[in-house]
Amino acid sequence: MDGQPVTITADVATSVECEGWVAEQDVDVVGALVAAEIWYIGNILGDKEGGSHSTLRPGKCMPIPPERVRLSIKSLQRAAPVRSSIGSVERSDRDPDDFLAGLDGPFTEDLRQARR
Amino acid sequence: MTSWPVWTGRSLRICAKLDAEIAERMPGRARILWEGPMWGGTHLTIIGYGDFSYTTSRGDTVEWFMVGLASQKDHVSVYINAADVDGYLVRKHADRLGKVTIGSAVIGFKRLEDVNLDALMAVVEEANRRIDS
Repeated sequence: MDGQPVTITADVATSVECEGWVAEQDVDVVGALVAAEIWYIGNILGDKEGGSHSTLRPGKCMPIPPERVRLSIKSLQRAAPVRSSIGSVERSDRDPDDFLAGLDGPFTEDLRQARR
Repeated sequence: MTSWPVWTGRSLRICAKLDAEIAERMPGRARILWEGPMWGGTHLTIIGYGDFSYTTSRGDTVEWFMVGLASQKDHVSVYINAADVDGYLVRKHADRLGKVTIGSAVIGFKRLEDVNLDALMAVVEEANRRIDS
């Protein structure tokens, strides 16, 4: 893959190791993937350990530094239903109808009418 | 200090209407209340329709809902946690949904008349089908 664009597709397994030398901004995520977490390790000059990681999303290119780097794809998140990050919201034991029925205020009648 | 959700006033009326619309399009699906703090500390209550679970690449099992409805301070949020080969359904149908704000998996609006309800319910139906796919 030396110097060639890398395209991560839905055909790639959920978790996979994949390495290759790529040119800058030639990585893209397509297909049924929401994100790919990628570590890029070292550079062509010294092949240093470490580096940093980036999360790619469909249609976004990875801002790879000017020097070519070696990529290691650590995980891929498939597009099937995913939990969005809106906080620590958890399943409640309360019934939705009890919740709605227990609301105070002048809109209880509106609520009943709206649900008809 | 956290504050409780604002299920009152105009947003409540909109949510009451949408609750019935969504439930009608997701027959037989779980309808569960989800509660907790959002980022920033505000307490959020969501009615979630169509529960599912999946395993992350780390092996953790995550439970969540496919469609969610929440009344915010001055607007209503409809969460659609579904995606297909083109990405999130919400973004895919964004240009049909009306005068709304769009996130990856959330649609926000202040007035029901701002929303293309038919288009929104079509997205709900598509999300419902994806629970079994």
